[in-house]
Amino acid sequence: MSDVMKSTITPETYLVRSPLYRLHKAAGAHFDECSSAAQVTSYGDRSAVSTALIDLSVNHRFGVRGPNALAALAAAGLSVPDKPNQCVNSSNGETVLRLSNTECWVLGAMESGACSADSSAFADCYPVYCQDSHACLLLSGEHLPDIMAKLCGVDLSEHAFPKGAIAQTSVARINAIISHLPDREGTHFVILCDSAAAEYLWGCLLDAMGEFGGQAAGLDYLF
Amino acid sequence: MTSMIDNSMRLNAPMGLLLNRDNAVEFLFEGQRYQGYAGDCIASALLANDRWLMSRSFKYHRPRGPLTMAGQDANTLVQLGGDPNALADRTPIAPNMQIEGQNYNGTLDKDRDAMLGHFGRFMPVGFYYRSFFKPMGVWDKWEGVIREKAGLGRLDLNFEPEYYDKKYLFTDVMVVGSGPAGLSAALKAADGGAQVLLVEEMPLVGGALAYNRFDIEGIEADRLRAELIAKVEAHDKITVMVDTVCNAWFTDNYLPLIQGKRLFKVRAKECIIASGAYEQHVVFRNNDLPGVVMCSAATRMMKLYAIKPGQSAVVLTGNDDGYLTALELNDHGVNVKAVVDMREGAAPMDLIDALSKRGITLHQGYTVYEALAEKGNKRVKAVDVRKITAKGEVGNASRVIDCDLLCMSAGYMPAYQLLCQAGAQLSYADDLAEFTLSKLPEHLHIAGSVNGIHQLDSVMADGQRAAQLALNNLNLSDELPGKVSCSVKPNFDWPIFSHPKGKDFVDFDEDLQAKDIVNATRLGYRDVQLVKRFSTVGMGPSQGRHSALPTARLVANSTDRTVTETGVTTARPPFAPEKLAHIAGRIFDPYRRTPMHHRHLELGAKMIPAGNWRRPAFYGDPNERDACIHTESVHVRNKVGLIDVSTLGGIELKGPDAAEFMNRIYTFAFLKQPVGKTRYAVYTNEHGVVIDDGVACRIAEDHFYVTATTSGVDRVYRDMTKWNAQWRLDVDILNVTSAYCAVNLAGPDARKVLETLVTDTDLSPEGFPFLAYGEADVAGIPARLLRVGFVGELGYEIHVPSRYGEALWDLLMDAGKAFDIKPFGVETQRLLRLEKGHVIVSQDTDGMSHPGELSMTWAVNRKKPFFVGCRSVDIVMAQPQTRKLVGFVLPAESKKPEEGHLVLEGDAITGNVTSCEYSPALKQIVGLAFAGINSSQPGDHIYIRVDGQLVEAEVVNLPFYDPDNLRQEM
Repeated sequence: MSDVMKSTITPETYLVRSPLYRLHKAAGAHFDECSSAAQVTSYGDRSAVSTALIDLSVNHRFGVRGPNALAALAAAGLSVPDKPNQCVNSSNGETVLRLSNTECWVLGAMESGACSADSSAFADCYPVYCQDSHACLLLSGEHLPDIMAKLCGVDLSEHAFPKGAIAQTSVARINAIISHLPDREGTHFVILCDSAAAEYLWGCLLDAMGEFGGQAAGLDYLF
Repeated sequence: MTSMIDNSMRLNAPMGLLLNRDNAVEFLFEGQRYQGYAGDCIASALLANDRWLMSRSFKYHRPRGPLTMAGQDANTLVQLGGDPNALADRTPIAPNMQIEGQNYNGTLDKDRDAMLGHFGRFMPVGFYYRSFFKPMGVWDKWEGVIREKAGLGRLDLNFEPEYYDKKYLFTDVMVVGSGPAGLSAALKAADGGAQVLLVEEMPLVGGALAYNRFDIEGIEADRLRAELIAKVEAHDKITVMVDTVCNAWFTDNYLPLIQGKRLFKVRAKECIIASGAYEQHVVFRNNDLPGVVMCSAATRMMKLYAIKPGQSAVVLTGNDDGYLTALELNDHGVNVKAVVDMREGAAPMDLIDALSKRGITLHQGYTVYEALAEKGNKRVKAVDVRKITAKGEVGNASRVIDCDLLCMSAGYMPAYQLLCQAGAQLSYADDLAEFTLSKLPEHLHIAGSVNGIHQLDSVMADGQRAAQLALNNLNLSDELPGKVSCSVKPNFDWPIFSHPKGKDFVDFDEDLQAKDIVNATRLGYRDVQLVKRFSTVGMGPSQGRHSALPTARLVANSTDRTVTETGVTTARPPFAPEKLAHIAGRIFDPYRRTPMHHRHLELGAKMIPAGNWRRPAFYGDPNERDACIHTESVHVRNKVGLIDVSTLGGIELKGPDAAEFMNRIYTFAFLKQPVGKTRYAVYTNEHGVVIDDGVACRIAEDHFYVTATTSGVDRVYRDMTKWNAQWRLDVDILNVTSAYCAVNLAGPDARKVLETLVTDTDLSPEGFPFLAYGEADVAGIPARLLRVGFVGELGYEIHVPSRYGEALWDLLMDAGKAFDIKPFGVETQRLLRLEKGHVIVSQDTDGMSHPGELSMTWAVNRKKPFFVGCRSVDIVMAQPQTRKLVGFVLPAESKKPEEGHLVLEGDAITGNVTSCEYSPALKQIVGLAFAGINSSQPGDHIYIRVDGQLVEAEVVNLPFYDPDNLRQEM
């Protein structure tokens, strides 16, 4: 990560920008290129931070829906959850979120930010433009159910919201999709929210995390 | 400032469960410095220094001291800085805390308004209702005086807001109250596998076990409390919250808890109320003097705070608990002069023997008829004890006993508030002289003394019974709960001894005496709810915790009814006073920002709200609105401007039936809309009213992209999904408002700017004509191009995925430098489209505007069989039209109408102005207005009332600007 710390990449260099890049820049974050955009790699030393909020908005993701959606994804080699409101990891690191009987979203692998395909590869399905309609935030670490309980009326404690579960609900009065990431050590909630409200929710989450010493972080918090 | 560090009334450990004697805390009360210990409440710290006078009563300014030591009364309300009405018997002391008394004129110790007590006979209940309504105007004279005297405490209007917030909690079982019933219920439920939340209002767990004496030896409570707490602490399924008030019960066990500066919103599958019972006072003259306390208050002082409540005491009781209180006092060095038992021969022999062994005199069948006061009523100094001769009556023989402490217990009232909020029925059992609760809703249970169970072992069993019911509901058990009964009768039937001189208080909060309640019934207020409203009984801070029972008894007695027939007043949330900050704290107010938002700020935009978005109104000095807008509009007309239109709604329709769906939703025809073309789309609701409009782009045979208004898109999308739930057409409907952002590049040089960035599309008038749709690469950004003319100039709406939004703005502004590009705002756009005569739905329309009124019949296809609202459109269009939206002009120097100004024909209102601005392009005032149908033709005149004057405007053809559309189609 030391190479990244020396990076002089700035988000404005790229045509693609996270809706939150100014906040990261103002906080002195370091960036590296990811998916033809600037990804926050570090917010400085966060080794003592128990809970972190990470912006994954520039990571690739796509959605497909329609009667053929599930079969098409499976045919493409992606794992598809058995029932709605579940998520699973595919072997290449992508996470497949099943949001209904006929709709799935695919999140790029966290480390690379990349997806093996995009919605244009699924001609028999209707595309969902979640890359742009939604910001992608990762809440990672300890106290996550307590933090979310300050923002959300759904019980997200481990017994009610185990790994692999999805809640499509209201967070701080905006719609959001919360996924409890499977197959990872520790607790990680991916929160997908209206990209136009990303700044708003980022502030709400940091405010809720403050009580537990939570802070914004970059990808280096995870790897 | 004087210092008062005494602590002479402290008892030795282990008394003082709440105290940390290693941590002395100094604070200021009425400017005098006192010392207590960490864990002390304000009242206990003052009592430790032998200060009993803490507050003044509401009406008569009588001296008041602690009554319950549990925050159940208003006798210890104090001012904490800018925070009024803090309960001194609940609020912990803190270093250098500044505390003042309330409601006095002069000083707390010498209150000039205490003389009001002498005029009580002239201020009966409701006197101001009956005194200040005539002669006419008398209220105006008295209002100031009365308001000056009314109210409690001072508000700090310059306070700095503090951080309060809210949090959800989820549990299988919530138990309210951690007394023996609550603890046993929590343990039983947790042992059964349920996740339990145990909530305690006080700072420590145990309820009555923490302060009450349950046996002659005085060992059982401590032993049992320690045992139960150890079990609870060891149990991983029990979460305990102390210093936490459950402030209401709402449907389905939605329970708000207040702890510190946080409001918890609990969702509990099962709820057990083990809230205990309020000890009740005896009504006799001067029963409010400092030094007259509940028995439980005295034991709280000793056990919780290590306070010796007095030197010599009398205990007045109607149950066995008073005897145990006397033993406790005696154990701690208080000289108990007498136990006065209102009952005759009801006390068990072992208790009588225990008193006898300690040399404590017992008077059975007696009561305290009057408490006698030190000078200024600042402390009780003796009591007048008399034989009870009949219900509420005493003999003439008086026995005066000197004392500085009188402890009383007339019985208990269940803490019924939460249960009654849940719809439980409160009934009076005449044989027990106490209220009982029944008819609880499902998943709500009751246990312990609130359930009329008073014996300690029965209370424990009752907690387990309630937990068993909860476990059964949770499918964690199917055992039948055992029955629990109790033979103890703690309530004395009639603990009310009215005195001819009054001051026999029923309600301490409002200084209401027994005669006040009786007089209210004599004035015709027979219903207890009316008595409450007339007398204000139960309306003070303690909300009837002590006044409800004697009031019910007095009203029943005065109206020859039973107490059950009389009932008690309704209990509504909140249970305890809560701050507005708890309700208001951490309100979430979502906002949305376009990808270009920060660019607007950097360019000096004056931002205005647009729904939950913020948009630039114009760029420049906010005080120069008109000049900025005019400059921007002229620039767009002559050069090129750029506006962020990302807030426009976007809906994508894809599938074999997409065209059919569009055709059914919008008024125009869309089946034959060519691919690569845009078309105006008007949406009417089922009443035929125009509620939205936009531009429909046909991307492919089976693919449409349609815009909607900023404020209307959510409704349009919702309606679309609703309609297709009925129609079952094969179409996918996707709201892409946030997925796409957009700008409108407008002005004569717009093409030149765009051509510098687009190389894969022919943007010439022939290659990409007016109303064309196409997809292009804008310097590496995939874009949707719409040739539209909302502002009446050559223009391109450029829609791109949101992630590219800011880069698109940057590229266009950079490319436009050579053409002197300027950004323009929404207000400028409104002016430009007004000049072009374009309607903004919701600004130029209202809840009755049909297409005919708006001259939009050209956008309604009457050949197709159906569109939403078509039948209503037919019906309203068939009616004689009464008004029409028209364009009007006024000379530049004329008084300019504003939106909303009325259009008049004689005295009749025929319409109103919907838009009006000075047009720099036309050098005159232009506007849109609804006008009467008879004044709606070009050349007609309409009369607009502007600031009280009629302004005559001329109706003209639309558009005002470029009527041949040469500029937008260039």
